[in-house]
Amino acid sequence: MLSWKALKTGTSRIWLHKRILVWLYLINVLFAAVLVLPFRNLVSEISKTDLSDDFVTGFHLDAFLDFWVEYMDSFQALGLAAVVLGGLYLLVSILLTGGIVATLADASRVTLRRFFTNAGRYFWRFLRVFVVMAIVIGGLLAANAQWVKPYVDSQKELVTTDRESFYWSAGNVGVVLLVASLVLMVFDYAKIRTVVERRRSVFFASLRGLAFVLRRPVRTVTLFFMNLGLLCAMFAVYLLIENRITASTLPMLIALFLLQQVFILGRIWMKLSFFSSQVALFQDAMAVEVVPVPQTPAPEESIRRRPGVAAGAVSHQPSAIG
Amino acid sequence: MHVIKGSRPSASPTCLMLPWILVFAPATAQNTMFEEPLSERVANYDIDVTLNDEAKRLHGTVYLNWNNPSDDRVGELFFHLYTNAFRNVKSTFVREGIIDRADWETGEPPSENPWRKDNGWGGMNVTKMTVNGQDVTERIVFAQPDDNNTDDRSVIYVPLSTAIAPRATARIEITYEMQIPQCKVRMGWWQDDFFMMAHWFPKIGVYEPPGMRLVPADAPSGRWNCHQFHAGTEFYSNFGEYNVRITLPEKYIVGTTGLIVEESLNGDGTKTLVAHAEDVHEFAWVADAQFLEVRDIWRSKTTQRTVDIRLLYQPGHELAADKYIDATQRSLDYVENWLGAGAYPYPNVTVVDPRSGSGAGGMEYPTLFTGGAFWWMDRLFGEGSRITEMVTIHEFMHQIWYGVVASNEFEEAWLDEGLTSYSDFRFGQAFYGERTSWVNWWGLTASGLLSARASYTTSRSRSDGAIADPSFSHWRSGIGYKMSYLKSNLMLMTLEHLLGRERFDNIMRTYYQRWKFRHPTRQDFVDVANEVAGENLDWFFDQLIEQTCSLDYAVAAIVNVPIDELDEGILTDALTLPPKVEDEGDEDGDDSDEGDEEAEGEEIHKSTVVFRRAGDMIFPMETLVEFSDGEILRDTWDGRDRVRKVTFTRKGKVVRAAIDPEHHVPLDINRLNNSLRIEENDTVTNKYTVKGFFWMQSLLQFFSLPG
Repeated sequence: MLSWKALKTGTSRIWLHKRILVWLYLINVLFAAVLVLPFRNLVSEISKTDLSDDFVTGFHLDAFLDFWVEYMDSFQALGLAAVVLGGLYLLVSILLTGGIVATLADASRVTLRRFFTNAGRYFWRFLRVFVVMAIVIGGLLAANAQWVKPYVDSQKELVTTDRESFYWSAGNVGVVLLVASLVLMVFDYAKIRTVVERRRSVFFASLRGLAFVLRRPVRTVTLFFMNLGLLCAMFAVYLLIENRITASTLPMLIALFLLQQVFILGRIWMKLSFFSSQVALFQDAMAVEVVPVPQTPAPEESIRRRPGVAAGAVSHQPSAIG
Repeated sequence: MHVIKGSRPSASPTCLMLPWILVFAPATAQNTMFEEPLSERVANYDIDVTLNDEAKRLHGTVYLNWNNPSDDRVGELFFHLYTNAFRNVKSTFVREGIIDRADWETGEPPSENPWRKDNGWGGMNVTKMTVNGQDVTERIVFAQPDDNNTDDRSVIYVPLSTAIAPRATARIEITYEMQIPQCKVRMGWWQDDFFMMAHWFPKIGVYEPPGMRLVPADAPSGRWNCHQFHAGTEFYSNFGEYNVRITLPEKYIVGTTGLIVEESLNGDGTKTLVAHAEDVHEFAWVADAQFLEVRDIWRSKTTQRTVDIRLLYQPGHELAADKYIDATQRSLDYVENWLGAGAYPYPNVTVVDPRSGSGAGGMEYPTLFTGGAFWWMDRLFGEGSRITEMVTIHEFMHQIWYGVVASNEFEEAWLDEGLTSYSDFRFGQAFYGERTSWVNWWGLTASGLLSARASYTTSRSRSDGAIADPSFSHWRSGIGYKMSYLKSNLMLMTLEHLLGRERFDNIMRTYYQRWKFRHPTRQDFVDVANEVAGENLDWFFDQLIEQTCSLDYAVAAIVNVPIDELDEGILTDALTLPPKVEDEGDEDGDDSDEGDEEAEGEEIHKSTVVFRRAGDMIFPMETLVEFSDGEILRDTWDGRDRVRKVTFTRKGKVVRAAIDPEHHVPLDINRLNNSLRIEENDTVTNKYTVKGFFWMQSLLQFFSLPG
């Protein structure tokens, strides 16, 4: 399957399971709402003063300084609460990813119960995937700090213009981001293999994820960057529109709110699109078709050959089952 | 500081003029900037140096004519060897500013701090010195007048066998070698072919006769003022004339203080430049093999006098080049209008865009200053960021408050930095908008006020020192910066508001005209202010310069009580913090629909506004009270009492109260408490609630990435 076709297939599957989109959005809203009230209370402190006039049409840093100084402790407490909440949200995301991948790999319509059953089934496995991924990315950053950055710094000292210096720094950051993105992609396939192939060993699932990418580097990377490109395009469009909304009147404020929520929905859509299109690519590449996931773990009978595919097509994957 | 007093007169020694005549006569004879000297010209230098760029060494000879400005017999000389600040980690400069004090005191081995590496150090060595023909080399000793750090070699002391007679000229010849340090701060080499040459020659200290600056007029004799090189503070020197001959490889493009009057190739791959400057108190030069150059001319709109602007900039900084030139042109215009025709007296100015990473940016020398530009920033923000312009304006204005009005920056840095910071704030607002002089990008705005207030108002140590404290003595803790740059700048902004712009400008103009090409003290500034303002402002300057006061006024409470329900206890409660609003009408359940508002409008309230002085500085403040019927009452409070209660009994109620409602007093460390409204600005609350909700959603999305 071509990357483009995988993306299309993935998109159609999201439409099929669009209720996941709604659930994920609601969870996002629910979490964000936790801090809205204290944030609003904080903002209202400046709204009781004349300094608030400096924030009606823009954001005046001079005025914000006084606000920041007076409420530094509140800002810090809010920041800490946001980090804690973010950590919880990450755990919830890890929980939900099991349900998402299982649903997107499934042909039938999803129910809330089945979604959360799958989410619970894969939670601990995906948590371990996360730990492995964190170790890999941490190692990547450590390696960059230990070897790459010193080299980049030494090159920056040799170049005679800050333009070249900027290119070196930007190049370093770009490479780290690129590699980190590819690591994320590999672990996406590890999660997909964990679900589709009912793997319990996270370590081997990760290796299999890597093997899948290494065997099909063009298709997997192209697909990944097509999704990433869409995400960036969406972000750019959002910024362009948002910058034109001053939100100084109620209609404009409503317009801003709607735009922001569309953007959040779009981001969730893109998260699903990454998984959905990668699941489609994986299923096509492995020439397997997945039947609805059973309520209890099932062995290799759950995977059957697609009609017309040669028997040997999956013969190289016996260990991938169970 | 350590003070060495002068002695009584003796005979003048023989002159040895031959080296001067041989080396500099052709150049100086043809080049005279000013018909009459603008300054006293105490220290006049002819310098001949050769740069070995591969070895990073400079060697040469200084021929100094030093005119004894006093009626004393001066029996010793003091010189700055500033380069020795970069000699090793033991210098006062490095100890104060770079090396962590804990490391230094525990004697831990060198850390990753680049200052602790063995490479890149420099230093200056005087190989021979004669004074009026007498060899005094053996008499040279290092002196540490400020901190007794015997490892510091940034000052030398030379006792003379024959004292210099009153008003006589001493001819001093110094042969020296200099290992140029790697440029980390202000001066040195960078990337093999960039040289920022400041503090590159032995420089005589300032002999202050009785009556000059802080030396009492009735003192028996004058004294030397020659501080060590410190981490934060800058310099102090006599004015004079400079003729400088520099020999260096042909590939370098060179900018200097003053004018380059001659340039010739030597046929051996080197070239020699001769530069000439008059009525300056420092001489710096810069050489870079990759400089690009732009020239422009500024013409006075009133006198038609011109100033040549020469910009030396880095490849890739074409956008910044336009900013440099534009900001310099605007500054020349503004300063002429502000301080008088010819306020910038020199015929040229050289603007230097130094190498990225060299640490040479943002520094001023007479008729030459270094700026700061970032390739990526100009491309990303364009004119949305004015960093390059504001640095240019700031360094240009040092030409006035450091270059022409030459205070002692070791001791009273604020007379330069404070006045310069005030100037760049004011110029920036005039050039780029009152609220947008620093940043105007995608709805984000910031003015120069932000940079002035940010570090001062947020600092818990803002009252740990006074502006009057010697700047070098508390620079390390950061207080010196806050006092010299920030508090003094805010003080001047506040003074402008207090007196009005016209009177304030008269003060600045008079101060400039009276003290140009001289060395004023803070008392001289205060005296000018009192004289020109026509009132005694000591109460203002005492609190801000001599004492550690901080200014904070607040609206503590608004209390509206229907006249028939008055309870005086509410007013007592209102004096507590945080600011509070008591609205009995609301507590009674009166919703603010139109009908109720109308009814309230007819109801008689006893309304009390409580203003509070939260800081220890006393300053008259404007107050404003707004009523529900739209009427606004303005008043001025002398600010002396800790609390001021203002009570009104009338129809309607107070809906808003403010102190310094137009934010004319930037010294106020907390402007958030300067106003209070009984109803929130819903537009802002809703807008940022919506935005905050979205930011939270986005943050959560970000957190979920690895999930």
